[in-house]
Amino acid sequence: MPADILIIGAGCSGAAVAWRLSDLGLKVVCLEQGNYMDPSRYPSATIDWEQRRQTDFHPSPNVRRLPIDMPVNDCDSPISACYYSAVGGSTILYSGHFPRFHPSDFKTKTLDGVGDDWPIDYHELESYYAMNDQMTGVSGLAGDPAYPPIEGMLPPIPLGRAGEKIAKGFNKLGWHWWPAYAAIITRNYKNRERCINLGPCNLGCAQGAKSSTDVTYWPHALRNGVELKTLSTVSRIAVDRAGEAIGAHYFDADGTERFQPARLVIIAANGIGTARLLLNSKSELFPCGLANRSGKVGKNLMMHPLGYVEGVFDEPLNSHLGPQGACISSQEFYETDLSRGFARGFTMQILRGQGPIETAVSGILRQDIPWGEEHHQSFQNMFGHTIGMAIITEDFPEECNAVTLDPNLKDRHGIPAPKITYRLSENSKKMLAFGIARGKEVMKASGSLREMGFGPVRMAGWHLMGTARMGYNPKTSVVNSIGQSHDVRNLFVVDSSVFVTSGGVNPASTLQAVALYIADQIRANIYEFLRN
Amino acid sequence: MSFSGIDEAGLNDLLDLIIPPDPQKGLPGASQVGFQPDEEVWKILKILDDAAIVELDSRFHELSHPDRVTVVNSQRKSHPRLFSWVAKHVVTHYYQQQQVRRVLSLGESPPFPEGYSVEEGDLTLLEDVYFRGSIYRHV
Repeated sequence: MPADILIIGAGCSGAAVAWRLSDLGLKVVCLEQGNYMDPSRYPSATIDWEQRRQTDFHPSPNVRRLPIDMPVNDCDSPISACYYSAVGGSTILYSGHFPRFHPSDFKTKTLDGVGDDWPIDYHELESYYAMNDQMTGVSGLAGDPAYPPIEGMLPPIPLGRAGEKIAKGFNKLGWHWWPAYAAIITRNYKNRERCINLGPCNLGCAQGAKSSTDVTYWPHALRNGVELKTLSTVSRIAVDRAGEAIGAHYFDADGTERFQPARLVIIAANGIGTARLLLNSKSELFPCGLANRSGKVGKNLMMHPLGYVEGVFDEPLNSHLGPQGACISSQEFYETDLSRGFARGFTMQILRGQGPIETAVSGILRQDIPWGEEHHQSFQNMFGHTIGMAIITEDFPEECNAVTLDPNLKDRHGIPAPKITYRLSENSKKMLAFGIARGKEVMKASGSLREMGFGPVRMAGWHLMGTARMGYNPKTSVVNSIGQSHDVRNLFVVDSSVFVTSGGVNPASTLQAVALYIADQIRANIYEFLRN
Repeated sequence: MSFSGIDEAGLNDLLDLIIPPDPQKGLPGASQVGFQPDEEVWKILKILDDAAIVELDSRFHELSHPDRVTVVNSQRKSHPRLFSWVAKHVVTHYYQQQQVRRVLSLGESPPFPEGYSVEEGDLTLLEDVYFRGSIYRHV
């Protein structure tokens, strides 16, 4: 059956847009290559939960190798691409970090002479951030001096002993910190039960307290009549002779190729999947890929090089308990200070300690936990005694960092797979080194016995941005300020591909706010955008 | 791959060199928790046995404890990746065992559905941060 609106991808942005467009009285269809998740089979409901991070819940599709996974050639990048295909997309495996971008993130060219300015700003997105928080269920604490006012959150995630310990270290240095903004509900909310501190949020939440979009937006969108077709892998978007999108070819669960006609097409397939789909959608009118007359599709990939710092403490901190990724964060070094030797900045995120097996394995590999007689005591001195920190650094849009089509690698349907080419800029390298040094400094100030740090972390490429960038100029951007392709009137992109810059925080909150903003621009002029 | 009795003795020696038993704490050694050796473990046992014969003119499992440690340490330096790989699998298996988890209070059941309690923490620590005032750039 023809759709009025076809959404490709049921993850972070696709779910939000599906909900926002679901009450227009139009036929909305969403094609998703993954399937519905079964929370009762998530790792946290099984005793071998830690090992499953190495198998069916590994962050990389190349390691998981599930039938629905899109492989990616990431050999030419120090950071591996991480994403998950399912109803809920990568939110199934995110840690639920939900900080917003700062107002300055949208004006980096004007303010700091780096990156580019967005065609929209924080204030235009502010009401969409709030709408998204309300739909999602976000915990945090109002009054953060690092942000304009943010209201309406659930109580913050508990600090735990570890959070309190390191908070005192930040205070000693006079540095900013604040309880994490987390898409994790700390009170019962919208028919969902509150967080019970299972721990590994990034392996799926069996409790349903982590706000992945399968439990936030999708129930509402489906109730409003959106048709969600799972196990449906889109191969290409088709256009008519006038250059308007007419629908998408896809492979269904049985591997049969089908066509879904539509009057308006919205792509929500993440910073790699969207570029891949556009580049695969070649035609006479678009020989270099759909919506790619600028040649910018796939360019300017940004991935947030991540540093890791860990401190070991004398006293037991029970640091292995609590939502693994969310505790407190610091934005002391977020805004530009050129005396540091680089432009823009980063967020320091305090993580919980590792589970027993990860503690033992990383301890053995790093020689912190020796073989032999001292093994048992060393393990006990480490387990629950460590505090981790992620350093999320802003990287700039650079054309050399790109998604292209791999000439050889294909998915199970024979669709060309993406290849990423990525390197860290000098600015990113300096920022990362500075961030790791500051991370160790705060560990020391908190009383750690010893500290270690490294970066970029390879298996950390979750934040995939910039490959179909937004802008006013059709020669330098792929979509305009409302997410509409410069080249194809009835084609929109709503995922983090449209990001102009990356900010120095996790992108989920902003990408959903942007998606809702674009959805409202579509709503306002829907009949202008629908193909006749 | 089948293991002879001698190989099994060598395997147990190797496993207990990685994680020895600790009777005082009630912890078993890695040889006592049903570790299933694979091809990589066989490679290591062969390396250790060959080295023991060359260096000390004896089979690995027949060496004294100090000599076994000496041989293992010298071979770990020569084959760091292989030994790390095997150690990783040994500790992964070891810390899955109910007996070990019970003694170390690591949790004998999955996190869900019981969950855990975590201290809320002292949010008055934020006063210093709050009173410092706004730190974002007003655009």
